[in-house]
Amino acid sequence: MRLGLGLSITVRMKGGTAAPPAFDPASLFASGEEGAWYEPSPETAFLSTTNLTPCDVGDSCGFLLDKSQGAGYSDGAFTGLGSELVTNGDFETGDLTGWENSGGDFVYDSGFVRDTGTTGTVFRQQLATQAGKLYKVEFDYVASPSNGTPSLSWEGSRTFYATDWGSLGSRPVVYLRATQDNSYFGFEGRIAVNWAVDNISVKELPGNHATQVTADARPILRQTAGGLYYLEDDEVNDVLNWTAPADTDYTISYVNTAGTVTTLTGQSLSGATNILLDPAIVGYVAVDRALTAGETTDLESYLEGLT
Amino acid sequence: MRLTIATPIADLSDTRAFAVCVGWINGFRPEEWQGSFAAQWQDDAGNIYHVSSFEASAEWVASAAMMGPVDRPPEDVGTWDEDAQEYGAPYVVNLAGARRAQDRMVIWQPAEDAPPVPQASAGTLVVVVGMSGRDALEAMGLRPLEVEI
Repeated sequence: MRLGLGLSITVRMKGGTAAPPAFDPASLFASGEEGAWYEPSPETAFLSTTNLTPCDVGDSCGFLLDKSQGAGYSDGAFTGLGSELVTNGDFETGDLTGWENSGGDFVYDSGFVRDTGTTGTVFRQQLATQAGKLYKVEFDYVASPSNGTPSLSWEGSRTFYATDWGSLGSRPVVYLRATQDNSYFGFEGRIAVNWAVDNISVKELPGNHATQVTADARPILRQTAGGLYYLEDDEVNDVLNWTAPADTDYTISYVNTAGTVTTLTGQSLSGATNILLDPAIVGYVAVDRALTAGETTDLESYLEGLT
Repeated sequence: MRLTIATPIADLSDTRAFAVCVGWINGFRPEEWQGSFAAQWQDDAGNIYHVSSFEASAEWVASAAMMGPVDRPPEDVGTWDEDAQEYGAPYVVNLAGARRAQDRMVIWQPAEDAPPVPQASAGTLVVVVGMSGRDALEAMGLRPLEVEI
């Protein structure tokens, strides 16, 4: 994070008894403002982008759900997903309409797609993705290969190999981050043949989720004796970044376990932005605009009320 | 338990190979350790060390320090050779580098009669068990790298 000119900082110490917060931080993003809203807990903190197992207290967490765009987590699944991006993922057209199949390895086969060749071509289509966003990819694993190991193809690279797809008949799920707009997505078999998939789906998990790929730099989910969840920063190498669209007028407000709320205005952000602004962070909100005095008061009261 | 490790800048590549190897053995993906030891601290003489502090499982510690030289993770089968139709070199893990790093490890654990914490120095990978990250690094004689603003 870089501090911009015109920066101002206000710090509000917890005092007295706070009324239950009625304010919803989501209202700050109602006009499509960029930003993020984090409240670490086992419902929002996960082990990593590729292992979205909820964190227990004491776990290092590499993925923190941004709640600003309506995404949530309930009963073991993410909620608030975006619309379907795949065309003809269920092959209801009775053919491979919508898909590129330049080598001809892939054929329509009784309601699904089967790889019958070994030319190594990719079965793919271009999706309306946005760089930096996270996407839920899932499909039915209909038939296993008689040779080799098929995989997904994401932005031209092989990933999520069949060795991680589980048993035949399962519905593998993986979350992939777009590094570019309009990503190519599909499947690749190389020497693998006779495997088949169906009901292919890609949907955005909306929001600017904070992530850390590197294991030793992940903060730890902790809980106070009073039951308050927070992320512990070891102050050595921990970093948890979200990707901020470049702008010069962000407002950031965060609260720690002591109930101290800090608000930064006029912030210049661009790209990777670390949310670990305190060694024991309980809540963090960043909005790409100046807030009104009323909004600032409401947000600070809300954050204070978390503790 | 918390481990805090300091490696001289010259040994960073071997140290990362070691971290990737042990991490992979313990269920991580190579990508999760390839960027480890990114933070830099320095000693009084201005020598730079790459440092890491993290919570390690008992299994991680066992495979790093208690079970002899590390072996190549079973999943590190190498690269697929389309012509030969088999996997082989190059591998992900530089096993020789990982073992060099392991050989340089000096581990300190708190105990009533424990000697002083080893000081970070050339050719040594100091591992401190149990302390907070900052306390451990300061006990090794290190301080955060000074950055001019």
